Amino acid sequence: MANKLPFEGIRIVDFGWVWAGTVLGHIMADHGAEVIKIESRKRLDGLRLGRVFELGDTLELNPAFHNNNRSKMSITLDWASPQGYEIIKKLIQKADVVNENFSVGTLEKHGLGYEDIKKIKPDIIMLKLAPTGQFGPESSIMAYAPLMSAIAGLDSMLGYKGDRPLGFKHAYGDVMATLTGAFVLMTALRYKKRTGKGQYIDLSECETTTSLIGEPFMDYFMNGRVAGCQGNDRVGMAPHGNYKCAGNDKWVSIAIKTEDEWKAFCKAIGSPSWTKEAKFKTLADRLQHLDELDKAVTSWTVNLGDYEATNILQKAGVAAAPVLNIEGVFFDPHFQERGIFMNVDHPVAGGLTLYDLPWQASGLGRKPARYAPLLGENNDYVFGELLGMGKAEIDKLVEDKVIY
Amino acid sequence: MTDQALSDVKVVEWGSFISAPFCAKLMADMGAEVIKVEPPGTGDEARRNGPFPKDIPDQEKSGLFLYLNTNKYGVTLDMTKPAGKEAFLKLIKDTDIFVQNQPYETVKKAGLDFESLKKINPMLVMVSLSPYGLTGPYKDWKAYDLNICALGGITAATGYPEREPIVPPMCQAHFNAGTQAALVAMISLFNRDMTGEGIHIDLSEAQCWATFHIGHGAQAFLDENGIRTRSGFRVQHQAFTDAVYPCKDGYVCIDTPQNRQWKHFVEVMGNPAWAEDPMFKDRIKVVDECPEKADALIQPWLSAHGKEEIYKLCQDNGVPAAPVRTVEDAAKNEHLKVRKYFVEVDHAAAGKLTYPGVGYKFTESPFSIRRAAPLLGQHNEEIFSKLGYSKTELAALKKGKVI
Repeated sequence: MANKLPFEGIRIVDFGWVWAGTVLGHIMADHGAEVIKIESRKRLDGLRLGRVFELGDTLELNPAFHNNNRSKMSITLDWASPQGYEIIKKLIQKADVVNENFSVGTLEKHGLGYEDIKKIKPDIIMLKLAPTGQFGPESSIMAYAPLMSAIAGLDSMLGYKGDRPLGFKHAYGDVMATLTGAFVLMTALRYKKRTGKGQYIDLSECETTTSLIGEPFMDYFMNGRVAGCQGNDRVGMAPHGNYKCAGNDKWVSIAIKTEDEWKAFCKAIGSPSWTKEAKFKTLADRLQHLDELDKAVTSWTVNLGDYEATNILQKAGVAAAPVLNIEGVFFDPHFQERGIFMNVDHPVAGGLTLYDLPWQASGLGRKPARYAPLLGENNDYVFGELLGMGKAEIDKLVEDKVIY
Repeated sequence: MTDQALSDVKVVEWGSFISAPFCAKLMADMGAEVIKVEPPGTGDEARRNGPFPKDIPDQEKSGLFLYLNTNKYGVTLDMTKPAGKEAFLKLIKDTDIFVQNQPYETVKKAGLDFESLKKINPMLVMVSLSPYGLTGPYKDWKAYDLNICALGGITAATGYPEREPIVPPMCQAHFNAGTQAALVAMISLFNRDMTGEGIHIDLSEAQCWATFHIGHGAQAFLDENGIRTRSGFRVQHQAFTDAVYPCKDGYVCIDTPQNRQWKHFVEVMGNPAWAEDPMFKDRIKVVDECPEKADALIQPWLSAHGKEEIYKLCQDNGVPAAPVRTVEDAAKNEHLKVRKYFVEVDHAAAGKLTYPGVGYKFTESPFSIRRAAPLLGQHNEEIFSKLGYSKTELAALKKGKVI
C-alpha cells in the first residue's frame, strides 16, 4: 500500500503569526498538509523580528520562528492591496482551511471575513484564534501569552503559598491554544470529510486555558471557595515539593501520596530520627506541619546531587525527579535516548536544533522536517505553478510591491 | 440529536485521574461515543480526589471527576479476570480509539497490549499515556504531576531566584498531555483511514512539556548558553515592563514590549515627570539592571486603581494589560456570560452545577453537554447488552465481581 500521509491533499492558507497562530500549522505540515504561510514585508511575523531571543538582525535567525514554522511554505503578498486581495482570494479558492490569529476584525475589514470567503469557497474551514474570542465585550483586547493565563484564572493560583501571584513564565496560554486549535481543526476536517461541510471556528485562547483548571472552578461552584496561590502544595500529598540539592541551583521533586510511599521514603533515606516524630506520623499530621516537614526533607536532600537523590528514591518506589532547565533537559540521558530534539539544516542559520514532535509511533506517516521557510521562499511555486501566473506578471507584481 | 464533528467515532477509555480522561473528554465533547472503563468498586482515582460538596467525600460527587467525564458512558470491568478480559475484547472489536494511562506492565499483564489488541481489531488506534514514555531508562519511574513538570523543564524557571522552583498549579502536566493525546489520536485516525492499519502511540507526559513548551529554548542554549532562570513576578530580559503587580484590589499583568505601548502606558498614568528619566530609553536594561527602581515609580498609580479599571483604561489606550482574575472573577465575568462559556450540568448524584465549558465555538458541529459524568457502572447493562450479554450473564458477571 502506498504510504500516504495523514493530511496529504489538504491545503492551508495560514495567516497565523507569532505563537498561537503558528504551531498548529507546523503540526499539520509535519503530517503532510501543504501549509502556505502568508507573509509580507509590510507586516512581518513578530517572531522573524526576534522578540524572544535576539541573535542577529536578519529575518531568518530566530529559533522560536524556526521551531514554530518548520515544514511550511512562505509567500510574500500584500493582500491588503487591491491586486493582492484578488490573488489571495484565488489562493483561498484552492484551499481547505484558512487559519488566522490577527486582532479581531482585521480580516473582516479587508473583505476576508468568513462570509466573504464562504462565497468564493463554500466548504472552507475557517479557524480563528483570538485572546478572548471573536465576540463579547472583551473581544477587542490585545494580549500576549502572560496576559492570557492572567485572564483565564490560572495565574491567581501560581505563586508561593500566602504570597503574590507570579504569573506563568512560559507562553502557556499560547501553546495550549495552538495545540487545542490543531485538535479542533482536525475534528472539523473529519466532519468535512463525512458531510462535505466546512465551518467557522471561534477559539478563545483564554477560555482554552480556563478549561485546563476545571478543579478549582468546580470547588468554587460547589463550595464557594476561591483558590489562592498553591506553591508546591497538593491536596492529600506530603511531602510534595522541590527540595534543594548539592550544587548550583539543583533541586529534586519528591511527591508522596500513600502510607506505603511514606514508609518506603523513610526507609530509603535511612530512617533518621525525625521520621519517627509524632508530628509526621500520618498524612494528616504531615499536612499540619508542612513547613517543618519540608525543612526535614531538605536536611536529607541538601547533601546529595539531584540525580543521586532521585535514584535512591526511585529504587525504593518513591516518585522523585530532578528539576531540569533547558540545559538539563538537553543532556538528560532518558530524553537523549528517546530523541526529543532533531537537527535541521537551514540555508542562513546553518545547523539548527529543533524540538521533535513528542509522540512516538512506528507507522504514523510523517514528512521529514524541513527548515522554516525563508521569507517568500515559495513565491514561484504558489504564484507560478499553483495560480498559473506567468513570469512577466509575477515580475510586475514584485515591482509594484504586491508580491512583497 | 445534533450531528457533531466526531459523532461517528468510537472511543474506549481506560483512564485514571486526569491525563487519559481529559483526552477522552475532549473527544466526547466533540461528539465521540466514549465508553469509560473503571475498576469495579473503587472506580477512577479522580473519584477520590475532591473537591466534594461541603468537603464530604463521595465517589459520585468529586468535582474533578464530574468535570473530566462529561459526555461519556461508564462501565465497570475487571480485566484481570478472564470473563472481564473477554468482555473488554468484545468492546474493543469495533472501537476506533483506545486511550489509556495505566502502567504498561499492567496493560501487558492483562494481555491488553497493542500487539494483542491488534489481532482483535487491526484498525485500532491506541494511545498510551505515561509519565516518561514506554521506552528509555526512566520508563518504570514512579511519577506524579509534580515530578513530570520537574523533569519536563516547565518548573525550573518559576519562582524567586533565592527560593525553590514552583510547579504550575492544578496538575497541568496531565491536562497538557491529555490535550496532546487527543491531538495525536486525531492524526492517527486520519493516518489509519489512509493506510487501513492500526497504530500505537507512545506519549510521554514529560516530553509533552520538553518539546512544545520549552524545546524552542534548545537552540538559544546551544548558541549563547541562554537559560531562563527564576525571576519572580517579572520576565527576564524583556522590555520594562512584563510583570505581575499588586493594585488596589488584587493584581494586574502588564506586558509592553513595544515602545508605543510603553508610551501609551505613560499617558494612561497621566504623563508623570519621572517617565522622562533617560533610563527608560533602554527598557531591557531597566529590567536587567534596576527593575525595583522602575517598579517603585509605577506602583503608586497601580495601587490607586482597581484591576478591572486598569484593564479597561489600558486596553482602551493600546496598552496590553489584564487583570489577574481569580476563579470567582472569571465565574462572574460578563464576557464569559455573553459567550456562554460556562455550562449547567445536571448530575444524578451531585445535582445541578455550573461547569467550565470549552474554549471553541463551531458553527456546524457545536459542542454540547449530552450527558453528565457517569455514575460508577451506570451503563453496564446498556453497553454489555449491546455486546450480546443476556440478563443472566450480566448477573453472573456482577456476582463474580467482574463488573
